[in-house]
This record gives sequence, structure tokens and C-alpha cells, in this order.
Amino acid sequence: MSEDALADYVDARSKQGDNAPEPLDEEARALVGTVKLAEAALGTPMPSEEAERLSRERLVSQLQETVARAPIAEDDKPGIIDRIKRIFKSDG
Amino acid sequence: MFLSLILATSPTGDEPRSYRADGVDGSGTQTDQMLVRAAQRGDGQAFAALHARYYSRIYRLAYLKTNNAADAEDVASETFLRALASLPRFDFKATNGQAASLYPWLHRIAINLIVDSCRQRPPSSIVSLDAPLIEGMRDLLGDRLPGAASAMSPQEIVERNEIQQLVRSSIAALPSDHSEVLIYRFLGDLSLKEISLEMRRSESAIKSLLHRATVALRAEIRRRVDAVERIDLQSKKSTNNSNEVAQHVGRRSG
Repeated sequence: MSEDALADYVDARSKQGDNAPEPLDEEARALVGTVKLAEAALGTPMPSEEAERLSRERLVSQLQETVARAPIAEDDKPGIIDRIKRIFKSDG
Repeated sequence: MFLSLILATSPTGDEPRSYRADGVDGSGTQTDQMLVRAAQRGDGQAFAALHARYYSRIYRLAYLKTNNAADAEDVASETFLRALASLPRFDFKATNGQAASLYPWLHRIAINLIVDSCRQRPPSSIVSLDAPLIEGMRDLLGDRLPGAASAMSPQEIVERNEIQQLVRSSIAALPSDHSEVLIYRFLGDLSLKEISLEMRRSESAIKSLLHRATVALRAEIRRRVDAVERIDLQSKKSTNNSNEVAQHVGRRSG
């Protein structure tokens, strides 16, 4: 059945990429090009590394603010913030 | 709020365990459920792995909806801040032991942010395609007889920005459940089972919806390619007419 064949093909493409065998079902095979177009359009654009780094830094900053406000011994706070930075690999 | 996330992180001061974006560490595969549980227990490295795993998908979703890179970056970043804040209360719907994805939850947070900020803008439907691209699209959509070789390979065609923009605007123009199932499958990389949980329909209903959505997408892309081709032809005709008039005027005045 065409619906099964298409679903199987989409699954196969997500695992094998372009090596996935095309469906034998004629109706599903006619949709192969559309699947490739949808994959490519929804797989782009990729964010810049800078944007991803800034997002990580916002998380770090949020966590740092929480530490600053938290009822923790002041001596312990720098160590905790260092740990957060290491976790998110942030220089911020 | 997420104090436990910080306090329980590597309390000995040792480097925390290393998770990879694909969810694999030295001890084997880490599913989203494992990473979420670890993050809820206070393992910040697990949340960092979830950020690495999903940031680009959420960015692409936001880009699809806002059609603007700066807005997409803001939405993606804010999504993870909200997720971090809500993580202690988060619970996976699927508790049957199978792997479940965190993507739908992040997807909902991002969509709510976009709707709340009124930043939703569908991709522009105005694209310019040259003749080889139109031919290539006809091949991919099955509009031409097999063997009619186009100047470009299917790979070259799907990688072109203007084609990707045309397809994104076509997806945005589909009925909401059609675009949703395509986004979950191709952007979120969710299985049919995961989509069925999220959309509250049976797996066979989702399979059928995916098929209908793909057929509808092909028709919408075809309609847009036809429109671009018509505009292109009209523009060429108009240019030819202008040239003929110019030649005629030139002959009369010369």
C-alpha cells in the first residue's frame, strides 16, 4: 500500500540517507522527489556557531544569576560558577 | 528555580561526565529520557547535551515561522531558557520504556514564544527560478517523462536556496495538520509513534496523514513552480515586445 511504502521510505532515508532504496509502489515512488525537497527545506538553514554559543552563554548567565541569589555560602559560589562554565564550555 | 541543577552538578569538583550531542557517552546511548532524568537530578552536563542536540532544530523551526534569522536566534535561545526553568516539572508522556523525544516539548515552547511575540511571518512566496531549475523541479515532481535529462542533478536542485525557500513557503501554506506532520517528521525527526502521541491520533492515522501531506505538498510546489514559470514567460514576452517597439521606433526615426 502506498501509505506504508512512503512511511517505510521516509524511515529508511532518515537512517540511510540517499542509500535508502526507492519504494516499489508506483504512487509512493512518485513522491520521492517531494520527500527529498521537504527534507532539504526543513533541514536548513543551519544556525551560526556564534548564535549557538550565545545561546549557551545566556543559559550560563541565567544559572549564574541563580547562584548569585541563592542561599549558598559566598566562598562556594565561584567554584559553582566555574563548574557551570565548564559544563556549557562557555568563556562568558 | 533550577538551583538543584547547579548544586548537584559534580559536587566533588571533578569534571562532569561527557555527553555528546547524539546522546552517546562511554557507557552507551543516552536517550532523551535518560538525559532529562539526569538533568532533573541536577546534572547540568545532561542539559548541555540536550541543548547541543536540539538547538539547531529549534532554530530551523523558528526560522520557518519567523522567516528572519535574528528572530529565529532569539526564539531558539529563549526556548532553552524557558525549558531550563520548567525542567523540574517536565514529564514524558510516553512512559512505556521506549525512547521518546524532547523535541515536541521544545517545539511547543518555541511556537508559544513566536505566537506571543507576534513574530510569525510566513516565508516569502516570491522566488526567482531560472530555466534549468524549473526543469529540474519538473523532474523531481515527476512532471516530465523519465529520461528527460535536466541540466542539474536532484542533489544540486534540493541544495539551492531559492528552491528551499519555495518549499518552505509551500509547507507554510498547507493546512496546519499537514504542515505539522511534515515538520515533526522531517525537522523534528520524530517516529510515527512519537508523532501519534503528540498529535493524539493512531499510528495508522499519522501514516495516512503523512501521505496526504506529501501529496498536498507536491501539488502546492507544482502550483508555485507553474506561477514562477508563467511570470517568467510574461516577463520574456514583455521584454521581446519592448525590443520590437524600440527597433520599430529606431527604424522610423532613423
